[in-house]
Amino acid sequence: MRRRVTVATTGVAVLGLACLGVPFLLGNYGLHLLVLVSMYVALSASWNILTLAGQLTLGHAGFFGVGAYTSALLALRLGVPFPLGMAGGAVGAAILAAGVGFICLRLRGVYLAIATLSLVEALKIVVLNVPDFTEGPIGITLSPVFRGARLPAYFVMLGVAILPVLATVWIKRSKLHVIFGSIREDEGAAQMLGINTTAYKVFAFALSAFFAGLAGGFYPHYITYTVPDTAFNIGLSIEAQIMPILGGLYTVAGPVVGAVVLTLVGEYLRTTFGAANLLIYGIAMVLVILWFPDGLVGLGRRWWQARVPVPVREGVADVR
Amino acid sequence: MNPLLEVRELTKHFGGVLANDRIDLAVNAGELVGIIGPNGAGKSTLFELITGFAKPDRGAIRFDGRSLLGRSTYEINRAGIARTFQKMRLFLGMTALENVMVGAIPRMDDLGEVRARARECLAFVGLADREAMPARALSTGFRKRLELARALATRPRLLLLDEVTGGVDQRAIPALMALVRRLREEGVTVVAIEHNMRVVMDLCDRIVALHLGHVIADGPPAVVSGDEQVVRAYLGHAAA
Repeated sequence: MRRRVTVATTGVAVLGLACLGVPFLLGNYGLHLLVLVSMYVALSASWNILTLAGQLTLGHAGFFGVGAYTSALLALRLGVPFPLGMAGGAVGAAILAAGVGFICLRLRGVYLAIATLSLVEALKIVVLNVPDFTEGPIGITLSPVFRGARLPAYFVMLGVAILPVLATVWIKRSKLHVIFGSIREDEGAAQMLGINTTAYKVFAFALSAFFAGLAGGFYPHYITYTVPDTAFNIGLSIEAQIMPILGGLYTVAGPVVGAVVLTLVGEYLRTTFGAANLLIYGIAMVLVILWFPDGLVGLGRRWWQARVPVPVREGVADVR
Repeated sequence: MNPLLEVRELTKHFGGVLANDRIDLAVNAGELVGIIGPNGAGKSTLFELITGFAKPDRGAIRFDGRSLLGRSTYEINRAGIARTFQKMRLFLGMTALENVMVGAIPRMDDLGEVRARARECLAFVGLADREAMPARALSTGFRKRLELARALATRPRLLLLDEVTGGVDQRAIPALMALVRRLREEGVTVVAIEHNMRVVMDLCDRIVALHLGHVIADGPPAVVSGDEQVVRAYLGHAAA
């Protein structure tokens, strides 16, 4: 038990120092990659929160896009500075998600995934069809945040990435850990034990979307524009799902590991193999998921336990 | 004195099947009532209706004088009704302790308190030394106990047991029965659906027999088990 805590603490300390120190050594390209990694950590960790409560969704691109457009429109129409715009985007995404969660209460599994996926397309079509307000397919151009300096932009996105991870830690240490677990395993049984599953599911939707909206709220300020195709890009929903699965579902570290590995590997393949990169990426994904169903974190844990025998903690749902 | 649970004219169709047909049932506080009947008699449907998993077509359900109609399952539980399921519905991936904690959570704020209450309930059913095991790793008998502990954690006044001895090793049955008796001594009113006649006869103050959605007998075990209609429902016309 103690050894495990030490490992975790050391890991967090090293990672923390790396996050804060390494950027100073990097050029613009390296910093841009780190911004992307952080953005994907935010999406992946926030998706994982909703999944902790048993809600398999593909709507994260929608929540991200609402964050992006809310923030960009606030800047364009009202001259709102980006931190307030981000807050607006996050709150907007959370409100939307609470509504979606409420409407989709009775949908389970794949049906919920399909419904939330169609939300992304629906939102894109809405944005495209009111060009007087949203600028339509041309999108919105913004002036570069921090006058184009990458380092401060990275630190903002790093903050955005840390929040959903901290939220996951909080969930795991509070009553929510057991409540979300019960909803994930058997919603009816949870209700029979007095759990207001509706309220907790809607809360999970809102909390998860809040962080996705926050990331979305910053992104257009960073890349200086937003268009419907990139803001409401179904690919984002898929990645937000694949990253935690690859890293290790329901864990704190899994979504982070998955986002870091997949973003960097994806970038390496893209620059090295050109057009074939997605093929290789896809095959690698399939193999990893087939061979390591509990993700990279699970793999690492097994490797560690084989090296340093510690009493195995029982209880699958309690895995951190 | 008003009965703790009062069901009147309760009716439920599933398509063309009349699962519950104008069922009347009253359970007084402190009673231990058994519900018997052949497969398809409507026993589990009755529980589904009382606990809000299904909506009745007609009729009334009152608990402690208040109507339960239109209330959601979690509200019904908070009013004081707990239930176990015929096909157990444990949170298999969670530990025994975590399973029971779920039931304690809506009633207390502090996580330490929740854990303590859950341990109490586990100890009551004899699972104290297995709290760290995943529910999946428990035998059927222990799973039944865990479901009981979980229901108890909600501090019910009325406990609905759906075949608590079903699928359990014969040797494990007496201990489960003793557990139900102790529950009643603690002041919990119990309604138990039970297939094992020996268990019902031994355990219950009163037996209600259902057949094809109707109540066909309601009275002391000795009377109901000798009832002509009940015997006919179980064994067919030739035997009667």
